[in-house]
Amino acid sequence: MLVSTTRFGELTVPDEEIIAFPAGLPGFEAAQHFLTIEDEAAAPFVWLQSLDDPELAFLTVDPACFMADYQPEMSDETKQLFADATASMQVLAIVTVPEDPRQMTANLRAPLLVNRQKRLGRQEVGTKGKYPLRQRLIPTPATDGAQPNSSEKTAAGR
Amino acid sequence: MLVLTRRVGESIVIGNGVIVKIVEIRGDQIRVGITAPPEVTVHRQEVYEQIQAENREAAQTPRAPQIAAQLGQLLRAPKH
Repeated sequence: MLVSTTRFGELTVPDEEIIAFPAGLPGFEAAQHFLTIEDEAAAPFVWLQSLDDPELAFLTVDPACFMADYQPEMSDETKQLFADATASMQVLAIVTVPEDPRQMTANLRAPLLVNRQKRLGRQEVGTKGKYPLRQRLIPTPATDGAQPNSSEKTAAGR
Repeated sequence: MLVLTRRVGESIVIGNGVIVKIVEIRGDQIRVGITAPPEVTVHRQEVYEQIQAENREAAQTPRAPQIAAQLGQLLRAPKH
């Protein structure tokens, strides 16, 4: 399958790499086919590129990278999805990047759970709210007062 | 909007395979049981809207694919 994307140009995607999200993602219900793009330079981030909408791509990260004991909530629907293949579950949290990228957050409340074996995914909208919708990836410095003027590093990186 | 009156224990069937059952009424709270096929997602509206909004904001991530590498560097940068 040949797919054109805004960020990555034209991609040839083998069928076995396509992950179906039968319900889409909240807010993007029509986007039901995705591809994960893992690039060493981008680690630990993983792109989730829509195959239905060239412009739509989410930056995601495995919550285990910064929260070792993260245990996503699993609804009955999700349990069904992984009934015979819990081992091949990939967990990804969608990252939101505001203007100041150091304040980027990961959505741990509603992680993406992907069954790699069946190539099926769901965004789990947790009901218990155990984890935050916006978990900072870079902790706020303890010395809060000095924060606003420390943007040199960010500027250099852009 | 269709409005129906139901008693505790009674149900409503919607389309093919969605059943909404009134389980319990306690003061101004009503417990509702929902049976639906796996492709039908069921959420509390306010929670769903919150996730929708967050997804929409996340989709605004800068276009350049290099942003991921830059953010990766930020993450690894020594903290002080």
